[in-house]
Amino acid sequence: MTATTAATPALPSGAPSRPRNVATLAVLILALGGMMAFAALIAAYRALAHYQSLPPKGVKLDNYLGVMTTFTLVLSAPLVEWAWSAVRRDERRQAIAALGLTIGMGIAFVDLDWYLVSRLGFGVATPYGTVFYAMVILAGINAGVGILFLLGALLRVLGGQASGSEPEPVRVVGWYWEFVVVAWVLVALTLYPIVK
Amino acid sequence: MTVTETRPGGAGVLDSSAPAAQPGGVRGAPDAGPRSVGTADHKRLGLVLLGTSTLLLILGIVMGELLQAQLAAPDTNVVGSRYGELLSLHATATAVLFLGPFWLGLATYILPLQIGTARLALPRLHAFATWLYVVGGVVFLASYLAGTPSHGGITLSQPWAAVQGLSRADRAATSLWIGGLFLVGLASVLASGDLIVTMLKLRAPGMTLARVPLFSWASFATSSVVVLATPVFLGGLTLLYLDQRYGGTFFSPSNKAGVAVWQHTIWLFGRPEAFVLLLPGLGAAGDIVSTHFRRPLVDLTTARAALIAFAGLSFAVWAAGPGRASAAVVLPTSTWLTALTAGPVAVSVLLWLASGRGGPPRLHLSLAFVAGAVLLLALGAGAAIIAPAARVRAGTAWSTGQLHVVLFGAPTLLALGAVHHWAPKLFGRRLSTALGVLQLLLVLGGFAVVGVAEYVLGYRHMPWHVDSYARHSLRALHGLAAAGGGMVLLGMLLFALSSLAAAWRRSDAPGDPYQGMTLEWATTSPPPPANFDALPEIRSAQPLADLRAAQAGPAGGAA
Repeated sequence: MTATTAATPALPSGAPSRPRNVATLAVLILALGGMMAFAALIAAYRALAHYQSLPPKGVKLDNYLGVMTTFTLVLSAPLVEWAWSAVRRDERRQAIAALGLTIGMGIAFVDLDWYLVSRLGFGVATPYGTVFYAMVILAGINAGVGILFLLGALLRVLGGQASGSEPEPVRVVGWYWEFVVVAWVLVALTLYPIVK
Repeated sequence: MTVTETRPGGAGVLDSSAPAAQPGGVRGAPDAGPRSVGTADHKRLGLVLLGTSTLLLILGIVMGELLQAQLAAPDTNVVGSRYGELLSLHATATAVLFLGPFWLGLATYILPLQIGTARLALPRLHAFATWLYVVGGVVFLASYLAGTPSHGGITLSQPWAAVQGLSRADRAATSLWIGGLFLVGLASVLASGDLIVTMLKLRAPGMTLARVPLFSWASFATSSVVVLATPVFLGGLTLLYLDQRYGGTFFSPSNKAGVAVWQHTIWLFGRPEAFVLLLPGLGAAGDIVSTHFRRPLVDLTTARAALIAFAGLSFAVWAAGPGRASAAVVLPTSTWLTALTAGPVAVSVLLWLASGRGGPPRLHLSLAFVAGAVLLLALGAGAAIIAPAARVRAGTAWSTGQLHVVLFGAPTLLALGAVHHWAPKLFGRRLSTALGVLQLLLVLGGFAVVGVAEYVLGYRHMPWHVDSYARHSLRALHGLAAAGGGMVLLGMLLFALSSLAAAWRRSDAPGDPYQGMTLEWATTSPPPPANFDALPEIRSAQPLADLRAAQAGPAGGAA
């Protein structure tokens, strides 16, 4: 330690610094953890595909339904970005409309996800069925959590707690929703032979 | 439930009108107890985690003692047909329900103090995670009351056995078992995520990452591993639950992919989890050595790098492959990657020793706990080196000895040492030294006796995880192991009673009993609700040493 250290007894006065982007970082970490869970299931599917042809013989997936479900969720991504942009510009009505539409698309996705599960035509009794159901159900639960976050953000905008000077609540929720979208796209690309 | 928390303005918590923080001072008794149920104060949450995990550990050791008693006197049929069940409970309670959450609890209490903040970044989430852990632990234990949940073997090594041909009661018990593990895992992820955010976003002004104390760094690295590894285990548990509850077949033996996937998910959780049980202890030991030798570690950058390398290597062991990695936990020299994990540990120990040069330390019991942990690590390293020459096979009692000595004994000693070190902050008073010496002798001696007995048993080809054996000549060794386990149990009971007594009695410790250098010593013992009235200026990794030097004047500073 040097002798020139001239420490003062306390820090200089002034307004306490406000921690920034705490929620954003928290959501990124949450999304990272969630992505690891999806990665585990996708890896399980890939491992299964290593030993047998997937989907197995006799299983006919409704590609149209898979594409429409994906399309519905992907469309909600720009909507949540619109909400974020509107909040930053203090366009409250636009933000409310955008968040409302995103929530609507999210509910539509969950509904389609449920419908998709109900029309699968196979159960969990095969290894393929087990991992298929696990991925689709987890994606639905993930979207459900995202919708709750979106509702929270909408209430904050309605209550004036998210605005141009404080847009973080919508930004954070937007990041989580993007994670929901990316996770489902990865799941859909794994489960549905869309590219083929 | 009403959640109370302190929100005094975010990080730093500086109030220019407040008096300057002086190292030292006394404040009231610690405010723990029933009111902790509705709190989001990191100190009370930390105490809840520490208390619950210690209780679960004692339960786990009691189970271990029953198992050892069965082996020492196989004719008496101490545990009956429930040997495998109790073995599973013993292993899970001591590792998953105790050591991990214990370190989490200590980090929850100490990390915000060390980085100079008044609160956690997400206090409500942390409170949720804390109680989720408690509920998960209770659900896990309840599963053993409902039936026999662990047909899948210790740490679910045979997942298919856990789901097939079960009675109604065992099926319900297994559901509870999986659910309990899921809740504990989820709680770990949420709390660890919060610690990462707290460390990255709520450091006091001037507290750069390079100035963060070692224990906080170690907690940060551990939390990162938990956030990345545990969700994979939760994914595996989801598949297992579908198998168990809804007739799935993913983990049936006929599905080769299921076997490989389970090995990977168990590895990705189990291996980093097994290694990182030691990681926070390395950080805590660094702070203990630095404080009681009254000087910073000789090379803080290398010490931090060693911690991060240890965390990284715990992941890299995966490269050894699932089959070999499962052996790697019990045979640390079986792959060159697992052998590499000894490198950062050795570097840390060498740095502690090097920091001891230049003067005698302040005699404090926590240093003796660190020395005890080093002895156990040396014992484990010696055994690992001898094993190939002695042609000891994996899957024998030798492996159990290695687990007890290296993966559980050394971290437990470091955990006890850390509590003795930070007791003034945790309880407002120091723990009894006389009882502490007894704890050290019992726990260190107990683990050493258990380890040596099991090494010899392994050398004589005694298989592990069996409840009976033919050779009567091994009885004495099993009796010795049981005696060692009894010593550990007694030591942990003393520790729990000593901690309870300290928490119960009126606080009398000064704020800075050790002339410490890091920020947790810049406040009262125990800290007030907002942790600090004011903070010293942070210009190095030893802000309190800087403050004392400045107060002593240029002449004092030059000394």
